[in-house]
Amino acid sequence: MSRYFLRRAGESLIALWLATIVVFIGVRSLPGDPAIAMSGEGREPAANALIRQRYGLDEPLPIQYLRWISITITGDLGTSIRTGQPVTAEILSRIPTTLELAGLAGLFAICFGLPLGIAAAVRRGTRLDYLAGSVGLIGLSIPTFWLGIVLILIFAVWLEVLPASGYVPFLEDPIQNLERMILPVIVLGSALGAVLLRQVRSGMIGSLGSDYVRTARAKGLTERQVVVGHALRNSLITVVTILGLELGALISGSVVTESIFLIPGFGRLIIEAVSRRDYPVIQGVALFSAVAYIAINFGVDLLYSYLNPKVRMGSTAQ
Amino acid sequence: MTLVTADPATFQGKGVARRLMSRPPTAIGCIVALTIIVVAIAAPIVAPYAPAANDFDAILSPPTFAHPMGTDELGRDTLSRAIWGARASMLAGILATLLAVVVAVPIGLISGFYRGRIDGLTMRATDAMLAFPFLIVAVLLTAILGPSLQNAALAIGLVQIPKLIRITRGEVLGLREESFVQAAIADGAPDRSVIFRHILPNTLNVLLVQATVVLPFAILAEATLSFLGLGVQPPTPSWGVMLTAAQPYLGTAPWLAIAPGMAILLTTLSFNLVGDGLRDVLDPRLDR
Amino acid sequence: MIRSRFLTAGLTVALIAAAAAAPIAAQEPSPQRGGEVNLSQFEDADTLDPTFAGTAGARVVFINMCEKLYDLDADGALVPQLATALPTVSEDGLTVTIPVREGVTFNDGTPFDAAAVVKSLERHRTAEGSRRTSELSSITASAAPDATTVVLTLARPDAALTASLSDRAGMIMSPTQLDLLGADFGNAPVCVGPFKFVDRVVGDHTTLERSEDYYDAEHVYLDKVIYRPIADETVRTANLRAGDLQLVDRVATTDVAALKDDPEFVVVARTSNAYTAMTVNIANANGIAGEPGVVDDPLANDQLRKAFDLAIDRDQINQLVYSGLQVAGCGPISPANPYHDGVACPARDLEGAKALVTASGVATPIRVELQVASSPVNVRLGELLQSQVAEAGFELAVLPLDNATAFQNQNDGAFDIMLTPWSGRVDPDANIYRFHYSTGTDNFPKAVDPELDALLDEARSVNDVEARKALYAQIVERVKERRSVIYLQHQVLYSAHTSALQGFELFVDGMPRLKSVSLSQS
Repeated sequence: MSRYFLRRAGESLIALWLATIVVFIGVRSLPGDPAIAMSGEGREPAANALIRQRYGLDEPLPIQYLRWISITITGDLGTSIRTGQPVTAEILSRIPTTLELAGLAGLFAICFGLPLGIAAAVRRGTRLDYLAGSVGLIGLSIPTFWLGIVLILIFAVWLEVLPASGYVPFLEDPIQNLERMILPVIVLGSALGAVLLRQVRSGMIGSLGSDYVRTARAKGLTERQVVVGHALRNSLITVVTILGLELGALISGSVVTESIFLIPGFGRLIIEAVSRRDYPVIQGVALFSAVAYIAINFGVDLLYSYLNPKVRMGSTAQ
Repeated sequence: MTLVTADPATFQGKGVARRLMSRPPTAIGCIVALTIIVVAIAAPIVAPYAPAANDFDAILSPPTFAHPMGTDELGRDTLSRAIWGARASMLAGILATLLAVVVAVPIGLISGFYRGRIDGLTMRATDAMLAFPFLIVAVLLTAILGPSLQNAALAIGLVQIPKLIRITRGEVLGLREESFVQAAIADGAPDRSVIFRHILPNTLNVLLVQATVVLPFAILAEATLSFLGLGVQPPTPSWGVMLTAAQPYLGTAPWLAIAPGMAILLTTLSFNLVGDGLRDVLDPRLDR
Repeated sequence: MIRSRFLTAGLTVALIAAAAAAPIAAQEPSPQRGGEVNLSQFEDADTLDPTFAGTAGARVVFINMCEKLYDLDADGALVPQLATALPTVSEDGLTVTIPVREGVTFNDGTPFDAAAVVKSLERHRTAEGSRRTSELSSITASAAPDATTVVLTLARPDAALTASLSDRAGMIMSPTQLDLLGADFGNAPVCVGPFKFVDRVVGDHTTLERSEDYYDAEHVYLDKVIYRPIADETVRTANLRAGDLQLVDRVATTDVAALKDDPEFVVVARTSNAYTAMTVNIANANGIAGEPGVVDDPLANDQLRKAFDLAIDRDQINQLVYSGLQVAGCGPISPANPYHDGVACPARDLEGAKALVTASGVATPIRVELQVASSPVNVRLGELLQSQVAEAGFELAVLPLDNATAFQNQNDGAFDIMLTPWSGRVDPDANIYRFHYSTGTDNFPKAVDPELDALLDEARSVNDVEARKALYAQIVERVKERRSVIYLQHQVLYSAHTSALQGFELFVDGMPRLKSVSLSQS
């Protein structure tokens, strides 16, 4: 067990290091100088030169990379050129917002996709199946931003039943917070829900036709016991797997959703930082998501290996 | 276990096509998808107007006989632009898929076949690549290279590569253990021959299904990139660009949004239907 | 018969008079105290420190929390704010005396006096990294001989100084807070103002609340002001409609008509000093800080540049791109500005353009690339220009870019022609000097004209308004002929607010002043 753990840990660290290089090169390849980008109309050469000097932007790239890596290892992600605040603080203040949005969206996706997927599989070939299938397909086929704009138009502008945008922290006013989350959660969760629906359905169909289930039925177990006992458990595993795989899609989706609904979250931070060429923030954000992803994967792999010793042999690990 | 000496047939052209068309949803999907492809290729012939042709007497006009889907703020025919837009979207999808396949499949084949250290390295590299969500990569890439259709396709293709490597590798790992492959190796066939003659053809199913997944993704991704201002160069219309440009006019000229919106919906729907059908027909085991 | 007709007439007149009188009477209830206003900022502020702030988004916040020595009235004339009168300038133009208010306190209770003014001015002038240095470049020293007088010593006569002191360079900061926070003043700024700073979350909101220390506090009615930066103009209007905003600072021209028709909202318009123009790369081969050189840009050729300009139909642009709601323009000074030369813009001259193209001897189609900051409006504009100049033989490619790349390209000379809006300044010098002076900080075309330089230097040092007008008439004529910057339109600003908002007036600088604004609570 410990050999596997060490090996995986080592591999994760290598992946992480590769990620930092990619991030750094990517960010520094952006055309446009942060000082010029942020000064807007107030272009003052002396002030811009000072900014460049203060953030070491005139030094050769490898030196800047080493400087960045050395402080990153200590957990310090640098200071934002725009606000002068520590990047770590800025990211940490935005993460809970996006976590809430993504979490609620995931919940919505599960509540919408799981039951429909199961029902469609159990009643395969019926009208319910076709209906669920269509809903799933449509959910996959609408661009996120489009759905958002249309929902705002209908519910906020024409019917005026929901707010058009904004965010109130949960601790400040839970009701307002949730009210403002309704549309964004629907927008973000729809595509994921559609994916879940389809995967759960096909997974269920597969296991409903499996030997194990046929045996159970032959033994005389009721349909419900068969469904809940075996097939359902399998589909829950599918759900967890999908959620893990689609984490990246959730972050991408949150970028667009947060932009439309003006939610000050992690996703929007990326767009704003790129637009301002705020190097420390962009690097910090990209690195943070890479670390999160790699760490989560590492954890999931460990969990799998604990549950299934065969995986440790490295044969069909995916 | 019996020794199988011949490859199981995988791609029986006509049989597959027949089985596809026998299911109504898939058949509809195929027909619509093919129609869209034909329209995209034949855009210059099919479209009633040139995409940039201005009719200054008919600004923002609702659907009429002369302009069945209305005109936009510069007097351009929405229907024609939607037809030309098919080209941009199709092109983005095809370029992205080609890039992904050309890069990912060989890597996946090698990694899955040889395993060991090469496999480990590939897995770490794909881990690192998968760690970056599509939009972050796309935003950075188009900011660096400049916004254009090719760069959008590049970003989309890049993001598909790690996933495709994983899928190919997974298939190869499984196929490698199959008896007919083991037999070929035991016979002393060179690696290259085993890979290309035995393994690769059997992975085509999966790759084909993946290809039908990439195109809808590419279309949606292009639309999103256009929304964020990273889209195609004017005056080339793409559906994403049209949707974004229609946004300020939603209240006053809603028809501007209907054509590209419906186009996106129809295309992604039909390709998803085809993908589903292919998956069901080619290998009912697949539940990706 | 006649009597009854008289009666009817008399009754009618009486009724009309009563009806006319009633709304007049109803229009004057005293403004109600209380309420909070959410308003949009079309761009977020970079920092809330007047010395270091560069964005227009910051000015939008400052206007309600940080008063300055001078301000503008609604039409753009300079009026004293923290000063008590316009400055007195000595004969030689090198000494400027400014009388300032007494009995005023900063929003942290610190007393306001001439010494505090001097402290702020010196900081604006000399702090490391200050963005106000060029605005105050004529000043060599400032002093406070007594508590209500500020004396500035200049190195050269500066006619644009008062205008500079009506913007960030004239904002006076609390000396106590400056001592406390130093360079971090922007985190908790304190000035003299109807509202004081409460908090800010970058990218999300900035909150101000009514200040009881303000010298005119009885005429301030709102409790709170909350700014929300929203870059997308369609989203701003959607939020106004949905009731999440009470005031939108910039409304898209495509939304104006619908909002005007809606009785729930009020749309206000004001022609400003802002403009939209295109900057041509004439000689920027080595960047803005380098020497002019030869560039590979067809429009560097004078004849082709003039042809390009002649082929543009500004009225059509106004109609199709801006719904006819802007003002077509061809020079740097807006018709709303007293220095406007009154010369009308020429109509499109396609034949003249074609003739020039032929005369230049360059083969058509002439390939030119227009770079624009990516937005639906700019793309619309680019596409319309494409079809307009195509008729004269130009093949125009439009490249939408994000802001940072566009700014960088401008700096480096990596462009043929670029769309360059400017938010506009009251004084013509601030609208022209930096762009057209041979070594101007924003002379991205790198166009050199020593005679124009001499005129510009003279115009900024002559204090007599009539003399200046004559000089600027000459300057504008030369600028128009040179076409290093091709002006397209003067911006009419549109703001919209709910009808519950009373007393709002849109000023020529577009900054939403909320001092005497109230919300009717009904």
